[in-house]
Amino acid sequence: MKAKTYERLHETVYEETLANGLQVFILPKPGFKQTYANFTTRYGSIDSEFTVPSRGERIKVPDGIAHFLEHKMFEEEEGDVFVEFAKTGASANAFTTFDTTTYLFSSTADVEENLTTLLNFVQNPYFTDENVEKEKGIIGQEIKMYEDNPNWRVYFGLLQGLYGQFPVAIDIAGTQESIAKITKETLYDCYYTFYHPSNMTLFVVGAVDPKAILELVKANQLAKDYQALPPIERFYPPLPDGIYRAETEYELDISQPRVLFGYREKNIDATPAARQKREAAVEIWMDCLFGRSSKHYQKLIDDGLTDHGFGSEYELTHLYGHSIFGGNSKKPKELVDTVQKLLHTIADRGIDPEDFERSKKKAIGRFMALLDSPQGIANVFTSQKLRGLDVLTSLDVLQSLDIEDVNEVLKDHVMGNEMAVSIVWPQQAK
Amino acid sequence: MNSTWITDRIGKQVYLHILATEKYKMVSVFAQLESELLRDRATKLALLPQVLMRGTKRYPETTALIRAFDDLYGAAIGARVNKHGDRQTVEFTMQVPHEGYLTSAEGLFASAMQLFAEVIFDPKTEDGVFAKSDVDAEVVLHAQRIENLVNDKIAYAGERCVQEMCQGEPFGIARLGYVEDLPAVTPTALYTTYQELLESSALHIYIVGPVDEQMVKETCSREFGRFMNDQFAEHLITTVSSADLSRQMSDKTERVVIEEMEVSQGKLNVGLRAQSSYEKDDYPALVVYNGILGGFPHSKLFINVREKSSLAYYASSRLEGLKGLLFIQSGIQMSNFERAKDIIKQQLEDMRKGLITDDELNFTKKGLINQYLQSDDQPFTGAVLQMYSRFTGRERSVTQLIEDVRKVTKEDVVAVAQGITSELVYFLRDKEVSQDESQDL
Repeated sequence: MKAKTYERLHETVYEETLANGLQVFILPKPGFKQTYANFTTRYGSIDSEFTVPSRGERIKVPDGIAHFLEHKMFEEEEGDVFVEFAKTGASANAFTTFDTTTYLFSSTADVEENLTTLLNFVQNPYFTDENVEKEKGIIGQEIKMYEDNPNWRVYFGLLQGLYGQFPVAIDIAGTQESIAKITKETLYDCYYTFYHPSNMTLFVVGAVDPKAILELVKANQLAKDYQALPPIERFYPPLPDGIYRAETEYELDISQPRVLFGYREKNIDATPAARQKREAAVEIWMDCLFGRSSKHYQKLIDDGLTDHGFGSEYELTHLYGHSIFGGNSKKPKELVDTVQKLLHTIADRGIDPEDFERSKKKAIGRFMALLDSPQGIANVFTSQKLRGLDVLTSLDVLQSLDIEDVNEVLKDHVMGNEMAVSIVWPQQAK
Repeated sequence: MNSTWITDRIGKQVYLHILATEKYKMVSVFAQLESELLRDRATKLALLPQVLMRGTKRYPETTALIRAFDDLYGAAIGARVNKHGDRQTVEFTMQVPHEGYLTSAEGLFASAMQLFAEVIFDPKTEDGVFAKSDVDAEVVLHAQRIENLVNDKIAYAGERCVQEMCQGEPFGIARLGYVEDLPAVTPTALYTTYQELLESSALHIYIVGPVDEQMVKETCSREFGRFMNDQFAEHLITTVSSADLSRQMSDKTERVVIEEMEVSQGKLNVGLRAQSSYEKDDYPALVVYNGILGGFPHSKLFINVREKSSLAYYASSRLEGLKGLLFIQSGIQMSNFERAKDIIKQQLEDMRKGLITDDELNFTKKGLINQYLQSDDQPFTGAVLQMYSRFTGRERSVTQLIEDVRKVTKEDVVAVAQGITSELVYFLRDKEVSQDESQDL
């Protein structure tokens, strides 16, 4: 077991890769009452085309199947897994993103028992024609719920504008039509391709003894018979050159328009370290331009173009990357124009050195806050780890940034790039 | 780690509560002023935190004020209005990294508290009242904030239930106030409300983190002491059970409210009233009742509406403890309204009849204890419990709640169940006969 201590943060992460390939991370947090564990596979909604290892066949599966599989893992031949957790009072859950599926629990007692339950249920698929059919009604309502949600609609509208047919633009839960096609056979194909321990991580945080936790996990994994698998082959359609569609519009029964807009990232850096640095640099310029203390942010509000909810974010992986800006706006098109002009002006002129220093300090503070949340640090650490990054080195990366790096990254992202815009309008009164 | 709260006073108005603990890297600050929830004050109080965040005497420009916070490692300041039972509170929060984890950041906490105190007590003024431009701008934004509530249909349906069930009582007043009351909010009117609040309400400040108590006391005495008014006399809000008053007002008959909008999913909510609430001896049994009914994935609503019938993705219940009200919520296909309603009603009936398994009872008690223990990992839990103790006159700590829940028996839960009446069925549905409905017919 390796112990990696982050001196400045006063935190130590213990890690070991087991014989079957499972990567285990343990972060002791003395004083906390809860233990939080997350068991994650590098498999999400975008992984819809791949080779099934057992028969070497390349298949394309229905949209939304990773999320469907997540739901179905909670059912075992003996019954509902929630019951096992409920016996100890633990709370269990799961979530699916574009590139990961995570199963988790948090508990204040019987950690060993709960950890065993977590490992065992995720490593024991049980799908039947009947239980697959039953889930379609439940997930159908989950999809309906999101259909009425303006934030979700405008977000996926933007992703469609940015990516077209590339799977990141497809709703994580799929559609009523796509989930109708899901069968237990396809679920097993997905399961056996992506749920091998060598494609997974386990992160445990809380007032735990790292040695004891690791022993338990090791014994549990040794007792299971896993054969080594060749590397997973995943296939993605090509990214469109530039954006797919400039404007995506939609109507919902809401009080005022909601708008999101953004650019695709042209520079998909080859190494995780380079991506981490780019992400940190973007975080800084976004805060300088649109953070609450920016005069531009306040002016957008004072000019009646948006409200305090206006924000921006950035995502970058080894496959794709994009920025997103926006919020509520009575004049969405004017807001887009104003922000776009501003981005060009600042990209040309460079950010203010004082703003740069302030944003760096703010980023440090926000990172420290993350360390006080067991769930927060576990989830961020894991998602970054699966992208090849160590989030606990964020402070060093931030310190190493200089203003030229940030200006260059901003210019690169904005100049000569076309923007996609997504608007959800209030429905015409009928 | 057995940390305990230390309480101190600053002048006549400020109560300082400190919890020193090495568990966190951040120092978290929560401060709260309170008022009775009154229709003619609600909108102004809701607007007040927004206007206070516009500027202070030292930093009259909004941007400059927020920059001052950002310079302190992004000290995250927040100000909001809230509603707890029949009280409206103005709450301020701040989180700042403990300076020991940073290099050359001495005085960080003191600087942050100085700004924090100024936001509450030393706002920017013009001609002795709030600046007209600030108030006007925030009035426009607040109108939008209220109108935007309809955009989140789950939250909207929940809020409509509260309004329908508590018409004519304080708890029925909207947390954010009313758009139609905004035109009357002038700089003078708002400033008067602000002064009345400061003249009547104590300020309770809670500070949690790896701090030195003595240093916190000294810093806060200095930063808040300069604003203290010797004449201050707290206007104590009556602690008579507002839940009892509500129960007397209720006519105990069930109403059905159907609202139509352009939605693709129907929201079926049910409003229930209990004879128990936070200040009563049988409150722990009410908490367990809510847990068995709809607080967990093993609960009756989740199992019967979702798992057995596949009618919904979410089906749960929520307890408004201070008022003794429960709200069931679910998202369903339009055509399943009757079916889902019947299943929900059946669960209520089963609980009245005592059809509660040992597993349901035990899992719920364990789940609740787990939640209480976990709440101890959040810095503001103690603050909320102390606030509720003041509001109800009933002291409940995390430890005591756990002890009380442990002792609850099935008979206790059934007794609570028999006092529960269903007063509202609320359904938010689409405007026309929907596609899926016509297919089913």
